[in-house]
Amino acid sequence: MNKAWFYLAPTLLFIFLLVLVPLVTGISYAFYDFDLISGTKEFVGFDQFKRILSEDEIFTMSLVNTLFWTSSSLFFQFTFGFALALILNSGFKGIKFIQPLLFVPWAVPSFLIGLMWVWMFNPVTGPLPYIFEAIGLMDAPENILSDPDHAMWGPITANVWYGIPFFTIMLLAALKSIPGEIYEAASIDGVTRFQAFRYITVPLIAPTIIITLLIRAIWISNFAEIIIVMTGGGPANSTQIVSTYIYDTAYQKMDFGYASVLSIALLFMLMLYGLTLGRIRRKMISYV
Amino acid sequence: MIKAAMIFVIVVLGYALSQAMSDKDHDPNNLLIVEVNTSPERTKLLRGQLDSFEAANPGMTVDVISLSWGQAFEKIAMMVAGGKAPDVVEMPDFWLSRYVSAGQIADMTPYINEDDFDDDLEADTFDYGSINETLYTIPYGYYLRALIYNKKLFAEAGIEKPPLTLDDFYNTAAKLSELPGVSGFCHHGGRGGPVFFYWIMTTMNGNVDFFDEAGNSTFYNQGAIDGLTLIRDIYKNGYAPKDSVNWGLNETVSGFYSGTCAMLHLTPDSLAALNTRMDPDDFASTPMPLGPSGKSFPHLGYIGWSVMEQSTKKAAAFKLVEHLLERENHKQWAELSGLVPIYKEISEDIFDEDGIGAGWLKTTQDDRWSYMINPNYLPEIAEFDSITVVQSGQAMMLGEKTPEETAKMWADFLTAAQKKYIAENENPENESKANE
Repeated sequence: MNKAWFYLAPTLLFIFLLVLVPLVTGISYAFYDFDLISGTKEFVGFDQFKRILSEDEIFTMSLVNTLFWTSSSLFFQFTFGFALALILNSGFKGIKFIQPLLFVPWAVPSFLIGLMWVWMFNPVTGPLPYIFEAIGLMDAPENILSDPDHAMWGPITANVWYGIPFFTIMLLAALKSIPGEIYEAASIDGVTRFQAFRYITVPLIAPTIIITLLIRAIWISNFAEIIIVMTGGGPANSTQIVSTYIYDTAYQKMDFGYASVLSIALLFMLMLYGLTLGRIRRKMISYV
Repeated sequence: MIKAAMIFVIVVLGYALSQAMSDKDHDPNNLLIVEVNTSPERTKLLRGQLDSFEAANPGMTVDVISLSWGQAFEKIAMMVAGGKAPDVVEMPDFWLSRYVSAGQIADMTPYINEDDFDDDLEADTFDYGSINETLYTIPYGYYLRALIYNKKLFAEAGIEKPPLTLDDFYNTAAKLSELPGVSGFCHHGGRGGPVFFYWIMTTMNGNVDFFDEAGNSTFYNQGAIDGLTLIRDIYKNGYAPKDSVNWGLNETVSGFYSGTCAMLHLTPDSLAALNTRMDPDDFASTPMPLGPSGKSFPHLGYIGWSVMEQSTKKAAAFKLVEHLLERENHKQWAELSGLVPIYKEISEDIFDEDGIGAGWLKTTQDDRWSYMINPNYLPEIAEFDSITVVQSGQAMMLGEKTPEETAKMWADFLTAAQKKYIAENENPENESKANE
C-alpha cells in the first residue's frame, strides 16, 4: 500500500502543484475584496456572491449573450466543418493542394482575426456592408458591429471562419477511420447513399462529434479575444459575454475578487454542461 | 544519459540567466523605463534621447520596455504586483490616481521643482501632475481637443464659417447631413470617446468644475442634461453616422477622411494620420464651440513620466525624467507626437495661425476657452471613463435610456467617488494608510 503511494507521488505532486494550487488560489480570491495594484486584500465572505445574484444586470445580460454566442458559433462551425470534411473525404482531384489551404485560419492569431474582420465590416474599408446591401440584408451599407440588435453576428462570423478547420480536421480523421468494407457490404445489400450516411457514417463518428462539440463549446464560451478586439462588448453591452465581462472586471476595473466570482459562475455552468454531454455520449456509444 | 546531461545544462543556464537578471535589477547604474503609447518612430526617438542621457552620465545605462497600449495597464500592474516595477514609467492621467492611491508612485517634490524648467513652461503643468498638492508626474505633452472640419463639404453645403456656438454646431451638423451620403458629425462612441460628453455637459453648464463644494457632481445639473440631449438628438436625427455609436478613434478618423462625416472632435496627435490621406487644403481646425455662457471647456488630457516608489535608484530616475523634458528633447518629442507642447514658445512654433493647428493655437490663447481636466485624482475614474460611460452612453444614444437617467447615473457614480475621496483626505489616519 505504502509503496503504491510512493510510486504515485510524483504524478500526484504534479497534479497538485499545476492544477489544484492555482485553481484553489483563484477561487479563494472570490472571498476577498482584492485590488491588484495596491495588493490590498480584505476578507468579505460571500458578499460578492450576493452581488452577482441580486444586483448585477450586466451579468444576466452577458449570460444570455454567452448562450447565443456559443450556440450560434458552434452550430455554424460544426455544420460547415462537417460538410467540408465530407467533401475532403470524397477524395476529389487536387485535394492535396486545397487541404492545407483550408486549415490556414486555424493558424492565424485571434487578435489578428478580430482586427481583420473589424475592417471587413467597416463600410469605409471593407466590402461586406456593400455585399449585404446588394443581397438585400441591409437597406444601406452600414457597420453591423454598431447595431446593438445584430452586432453579435460580427464576432460570430469571425469565430466561425476561425473554427471551421478544427471540426474539419477532427471529423476528417474520424471519417478516414471507418473501414471501406462496411460501405461495400452495405452497397451490396442495396443501401442508398443517404442511408449509408445515416446508418453507417453518423453512428460510427458520433463519439468524435460529441467530444469535439463538448470541447469546442467550452472553448468558445471562454473565447474573449475576438469580441474584445471587434466590439469591446459594445454597443451598450450587446456583445458582452461572461468571459469579456470577466476581462473588463479584472483588467479595467482591477477588481480581481469580483472577477473571480464571475469566473466561478462560468466554471460551474460549464461543468454542468460537460456532465450532461458526457452522459449523452455514454448512451450513444452503448447504442452503437 | 544524454537527456540527463541536457536537463542539467538547461537548469544551470536557467539559473545563471535568472541570476544575471536579478543582478541587473540591483545594478545601481542601470535604469528601466517602460513606455506604453508606442510607435516604432517614437521608440526610436526615445532610444536616441536615452543614448544622449547615457552619454551625459558615463557609466549609466537605460533599458526600454515598449508595451502595446491595449495591454499596457494590466502588464504594468503585473510588474508592480510581482515586485519587478520599472524605475520610470509612462503615466496616462487616468491611471495616475490608481497607482498613487496604492502608494506606488514616488513623490517628485524633493527632486524636481519648477525652477529647473524654462520660464515659458505652461503655468499649470505641475498642478496637472499633482494629487493633493504632491507632484507625481510631469506631462510630456497635452492631448487638447479641438474641432476639425472638412472645408470641401462645408463649401458644398453652402456653409461659410465653422460653428462658433453649440447652436451653430447643431445647425451646421443638420445642414451638412442634407448632402447625400454625408453626416454632419463624426461621433466617437466607443472607448476614448467619453470626453466629448464631459465637454458638452460642462460647456452647457457654463462651469468647468465636475463637482460643487459639497462634492456633488454637476453632471445632473439642467445644463448637463441639456448637453446630453443635444448630442443624443444629433445622433437620433441622423446628423451622425448610425454606426458611430461604437466608433473608436480609427473609425472616426477614417470616417472623416472618407467624407462620411464632416466634423470631428480630435486631439492634435491624430492629425498625422489625416495628413497622409487628405489634401491639407481640404480641412481645417477651429476651437470647440461655445456654450450659452459664452465659454467652452475643451478637454485636456496628458501623459507624463513618473518614477515608481519601488525604484531603488530614484535620484537617477528623476534625472532621466528631467532629461526627457529638457527643451531640445521636448521639442523633438512634440514635433513627432504632434501634441501641444508644455513650453509655450514651442507651441507657437509648431501650431501656426494659418495652418491646420489654428484651432488649437486659438484655444490656448483666447480667454473664452479654458481647459477641462478630468478628476484624475479619483481612483474610480479609469473605470468610469473606459467602461461605465462608454456602455451607458451608447445605451442613451440608442434610446434605451433617457439623457436624464444617464446624467443621474453618472452623477451618482461621480458624487459617491468624490465624497469618498473627501472623507479619506479629511481623515489623516486614512491618508497615512493610503500612503503606506
